[in-house]
Amino acid sequence: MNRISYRFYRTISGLRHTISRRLTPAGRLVALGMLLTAGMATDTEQSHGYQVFGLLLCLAFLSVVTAPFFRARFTAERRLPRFATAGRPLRYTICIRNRTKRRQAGLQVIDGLADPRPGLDEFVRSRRVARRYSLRLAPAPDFRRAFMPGPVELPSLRPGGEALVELELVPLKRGVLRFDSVIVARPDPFMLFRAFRRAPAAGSLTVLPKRYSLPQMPLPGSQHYQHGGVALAAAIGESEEFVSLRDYRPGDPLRRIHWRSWARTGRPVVKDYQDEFFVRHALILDTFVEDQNPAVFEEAVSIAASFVCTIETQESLLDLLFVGPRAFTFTIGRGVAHGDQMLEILATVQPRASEPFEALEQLVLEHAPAVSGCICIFVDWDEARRELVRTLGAMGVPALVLVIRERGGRALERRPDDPESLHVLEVGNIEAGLARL
Amino acid sequence: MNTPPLLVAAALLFWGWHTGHIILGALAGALLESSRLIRLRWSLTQADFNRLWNVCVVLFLGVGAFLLIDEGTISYADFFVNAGKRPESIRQAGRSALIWFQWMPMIFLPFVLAQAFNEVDRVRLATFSWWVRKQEKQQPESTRFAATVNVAMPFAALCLLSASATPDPGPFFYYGLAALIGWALWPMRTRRHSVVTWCVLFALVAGGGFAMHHGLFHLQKKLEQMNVMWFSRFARLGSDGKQSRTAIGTIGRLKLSNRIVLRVYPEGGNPPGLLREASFNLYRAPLWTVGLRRDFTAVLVEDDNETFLLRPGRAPRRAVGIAQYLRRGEGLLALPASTSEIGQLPVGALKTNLFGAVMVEGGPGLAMYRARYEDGGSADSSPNPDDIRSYRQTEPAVGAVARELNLVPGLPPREAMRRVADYFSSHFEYGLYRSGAHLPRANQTAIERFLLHTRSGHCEYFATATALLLREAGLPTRYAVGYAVQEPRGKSYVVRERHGHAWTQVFYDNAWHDFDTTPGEWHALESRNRSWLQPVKDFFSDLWFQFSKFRWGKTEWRKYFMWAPVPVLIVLLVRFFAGKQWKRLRKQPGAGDRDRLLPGLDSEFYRIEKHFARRGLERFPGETWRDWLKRVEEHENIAGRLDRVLALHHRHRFDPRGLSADERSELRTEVASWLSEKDNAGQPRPSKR
Repeated sequence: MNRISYRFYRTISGLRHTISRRLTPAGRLVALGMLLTAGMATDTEQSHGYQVFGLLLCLAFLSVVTAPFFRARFTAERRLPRFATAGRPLRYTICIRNRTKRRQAGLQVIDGLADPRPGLDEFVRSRRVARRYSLRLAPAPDFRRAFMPGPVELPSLRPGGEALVELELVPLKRGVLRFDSVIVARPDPFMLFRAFRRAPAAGSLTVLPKRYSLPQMPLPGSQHYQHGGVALAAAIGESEEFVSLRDYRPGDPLRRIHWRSWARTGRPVVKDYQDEFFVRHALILDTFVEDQNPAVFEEAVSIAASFVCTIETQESLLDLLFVGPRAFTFTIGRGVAHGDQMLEILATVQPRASEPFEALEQLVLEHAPAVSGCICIFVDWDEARRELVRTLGAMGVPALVLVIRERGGRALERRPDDPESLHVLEVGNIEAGLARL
Repeated sequence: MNTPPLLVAAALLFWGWHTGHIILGALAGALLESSRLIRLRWSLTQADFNRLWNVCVVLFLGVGAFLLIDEGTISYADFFVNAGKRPESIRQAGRSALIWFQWMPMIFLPFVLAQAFNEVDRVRLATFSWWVRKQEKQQPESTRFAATVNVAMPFAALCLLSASATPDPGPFFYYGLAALIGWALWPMRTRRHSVVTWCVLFALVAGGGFAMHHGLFHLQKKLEQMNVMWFSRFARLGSDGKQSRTAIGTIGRLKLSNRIVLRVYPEGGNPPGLLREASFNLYRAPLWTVGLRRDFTAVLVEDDNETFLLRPGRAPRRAVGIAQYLRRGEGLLALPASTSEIGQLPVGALKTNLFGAVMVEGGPGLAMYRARYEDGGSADSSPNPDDIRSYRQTEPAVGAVARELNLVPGLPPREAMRRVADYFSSHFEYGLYRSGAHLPRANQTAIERFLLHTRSGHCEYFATATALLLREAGLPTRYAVGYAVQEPRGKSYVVRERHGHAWTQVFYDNAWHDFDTTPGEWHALESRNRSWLQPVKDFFSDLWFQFSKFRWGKTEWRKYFMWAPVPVLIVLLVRFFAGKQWKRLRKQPGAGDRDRLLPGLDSEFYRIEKHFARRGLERFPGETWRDWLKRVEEHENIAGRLDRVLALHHRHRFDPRGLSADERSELRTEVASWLSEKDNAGQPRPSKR
C-alpha cells in the first residue's frame, strides 16, 4: 500500500511540476477547457462543445508541435551567496549567454532545484507521522525545499551576448539547497506551452535555520574554573595565561619548567599560569525524535540557532552538544570559532529516529563538570529527559529547559519535581513563547 | 480585471446571445467592465471571499438539484426502475446538465463582481477548495496554500463554454468563438514572433478547428451507424412489436452471444422451426415498422386465469412448451406463427396486435407456457394495402431483380416463391461479416448493394429482399423476427441469442405462411461463434434456469420450501432449552435472591400472621395489616400490643433505610416473646366465622 501511495505521490507531484513549468496560466486554462468540452464533444447534437473542443485542440496541438523547433544553445552561470536563511527571501542572479548566431528574444528563465522528493522510506515515515491521530485522508507532507520563482523574462540576447536576470527564492527548510540546470524557455506564439533548453549550472548553498529574536535573559550559571584554560585563547579578557615564574615545587609538570631561567639561576624555575575563570554554557539539542511531527524538531533547531546568535560569546564559551551519527561537541567563543560555523552545523543536523536517549545523556554528563549552565532544548519531556535534568541539578549545573510540543498536541504532564526553569513552547507560537522567557 | 478591456463584456454578450438571455448578458458585462471606470473599491477579506464562494457553490448545487427535480416529465427514478424509460432518462439528464452548464456564468457572477470591485483583484486558490482551507487552518505557517489567482479570465472562458452548451447556436457560433479566443490571446503573444506570423498561425488554428469540429460531427454520425447493431443487439432486442431496427447498411461483424434465451419442449414430433416475436409490413431503411392500427389490444383470459385463446374455436393438434425469461415480467412472446392458444401463462395481461405480436405484462420473470398451434394459418390480420406496397421507386434494384426473375402480378404464389428461393440459393451466400464493400455507395441503397453487388449478407438482408421482391409478384408479405429452433438438447431444444433470425411471411391460400430464404449454411456459420467455454456457461445457465423455475413457482419442490425453516426452528428450540440460555433460566433467583429483591420478607411478624391463621383468622387478600389486626382484635385480646411490632415490621419491609440493628432485634424479641406468651396461655380456639 505504501509503495502504491508513494508511486501515486511521485506521479502526481511530477505531473504538477511539469504542468506548472510547461504550461502558462493561459495554457492551463486551455487544457481545462479541453477536458470539460471533451465530455460535451461526445454528443454533437446536444451541445456545441465539440466546436470549442476542436478549436482548443488545434490551439494546443500547434503550441506543442512547435516546441521541438526551439534549437538555441545557452550557457548559464548562477551567482549564489554562501548562506541563506530559512524563511527569508534570497536574491541571486543568473548570467545567461547566447551561444547561437541569432538574436534571441521573448525568452524566459526558469531556475530549477534538484528533485526534492523523498525516497520511499522517508515518505512512509512522514506519512505515518501525518496520520498518527486519524485515518482521514492526509495531504502529502510538504517536501519542497524552497519556494522557487516563476519564469522570469530574459532580456533580448545578441548573438554571443549575455544578460543577467535577478531571481528571488524563499528557502523553506534549512540544509543544503542544491540547484539543477537553468532552463531557458520559449513560449509558443500563443503563450500556452513552453519549449525548454537546459543549460547545466549545478550549484548549492547552505540554508541556515530560521532564527527567533530572544529577549535579554540572564543565563544560568556563573564563572567557572576552566582547567588549563582555553588552548587557543586570544588576548582579550582574562585570557592572559602566563603570570610569572616561580620556584619548582615537587609535582609540577616537566613541561612547565622554564629551561632558560633554570640555566641562568641554576635552580629549577617553572612558569606559573593564572587559572582561568569564565562562563561556559552548554547548548544541548535533543535529536531523538520518536514519532513527533518533523516541525517540532525543526523548531528545536531554530531555537538552538537563535541562542547561538544571541549569546555573547566574546566573553564566554558556548558548547553545542548533540548526537548525530556520533556524539558531537562543538565550542565557540573567545575567539575559538565563529557562530556562523555553528549555524552551518545546525543547518545540517538530522533527527535520530528510534535510538536511545542515553547517548546524549552520557555526552552531557561527561561535559557537565566544565560548564556553568545548560540550555536544554528537548522535543519531548519523558522520564529519561527528566532524569538528565535532575542529574545536572544534582551536579550543581543549572539548566534552562525548553520543551517543544506540537500545535494542538497533548498537553505536557508537569510534576512537582520538574525544574522551575522548564518552559513549554508550542509550534506556531514559538516567538511568543520565547518572549515570555 | 486582468483581461483585455471589454473582453469579459463581449464574452457575456456572446453567452447571452446564444442562450437567449442577451439583456442579462449585456447588463452583467456592463457591470463588470464598469469596474475599470469606477474607482470605488470594497475591502473584502479572504474570509469574505470564502463565504461568497460557499454561497456560489450552494447556488450552483441548488440550481442543479432544481433542474434534476423539475425538468421534464420523466422521473429520475425511472432510470433505476423502468428499463424501457432508461434511455430517455439518460437523455433528459444530459439536457438538464446542459441547462445547468448554461447558467453557470450567472451563478458565479457575484464572485467575479466581488473580485472586480475589490482592492486586491486576486483571490487565493485555497478559496476554491474546502479541503485546502481546512489544511491551511491546520498548517497556518505553511506557504504551500499561498497561491492566488485572478478569476476574470477563467470567467470569460466559462462564458464561452456555457454558450457552447446550447443545442443549436447557429452558424456564427464558431466564428464568434474563434474571434473571442483570438482577442484573449492577442495581448499575451510573445515578442519573439511577428504580428504576421501570429495572425497566420491563428488563422491556421481557426481553420484547423473548423475542420476538426466538422470531422467530429461526421465521425459521430459514422459511429452511430456502426453502433446501431451494438445498441440494438440485432433484430431481437431492436424490436418492440412496433418497429424493428435492422443492421442493414452497416458494417462490422455481427457478434451475438451464446446466451440461452429460450428452452423449447416439443410435445411429440419436431418443434416448430421458427418462433416469431413480431412481424412488420412497412420498410423504412433500416427500420421495419407496422403501419396503421399498430396498437395492442388485450386478449381475455379464460376461467383458469392462465389460458388465452388467440383464435377461438380452433382445436390445434400440435403443442410446444416454451420457457422464456421476461425482463421485469414484460416482453414479446416467441411463438409459432400459427399459435391459436397459449396456456399455463399466469400474467396480468396479454395483448396482441394485428401483426401477430403477443406481448405480456405483469408476468413472472420466467414464463413457462404451452403454445398450441397448427401448421398454416395464424391470428394475424388479413393483408392490407401496406402489405403489398411496392418499393420499386425507392429500391430500384428490387424492380430490376423482379424483372430478371419475371415476377409479375398474377404469378402463382408458389411459383413466385420458388423463383425467389432459387435465386437466393444459387447466387447468394450467408455472411456475418459486413466489410466496407457492403456500405452503399452514393445513390445506392443497402438492399441494392446486397442484391446487385455483394450478394452476401445476413438474414435481415434476405428477409427484407424477399419481402420486397414477392410484393412485385403481387403477393402480400411481411417481415418477421424471432428465433430459429435448431439446437437439440436431450428431448428439448435450446435457443441462443445468436439464433435470432428474420424471415418473410407470405399470404396465400387465405393464410400467412413462413418463408425463409436465408441460405441453409447460416446455422453452421452462426454456430462457429461457439466459445470453448460454452459448456461451462451452459452449466451456469442451467443452474440459473433451475433457480428461476423455483423462484417463479415453476417447480414442484417449491412447496417444500416452506418446511425448510422447520429444522432450523427445531435446532433453535433445542439450543434454547438445552443450551446455556436454559441453564441460566434454571438458575432463577431462589429464596435468598427473592429476599434480596424484596427486603423484609424475613420479618418475624409473619409468624404472628401464621399464628392467627391457624386459629382461623387468616388475612384476606387485599386486606391491610392494620385492618386485619383490627379484625383480629374483635376476637382476640391483643390490646394494642402488636402496634409497635407492626410499625417495626412496616419499616423493615418498606423503609428504604430499613431498621437499625437494635430495632431489628427488638422486632425479633417482641414477636418471640408475644408468641411464647400466647402459646403458654393456650387460649381457646375461637369459632370460625
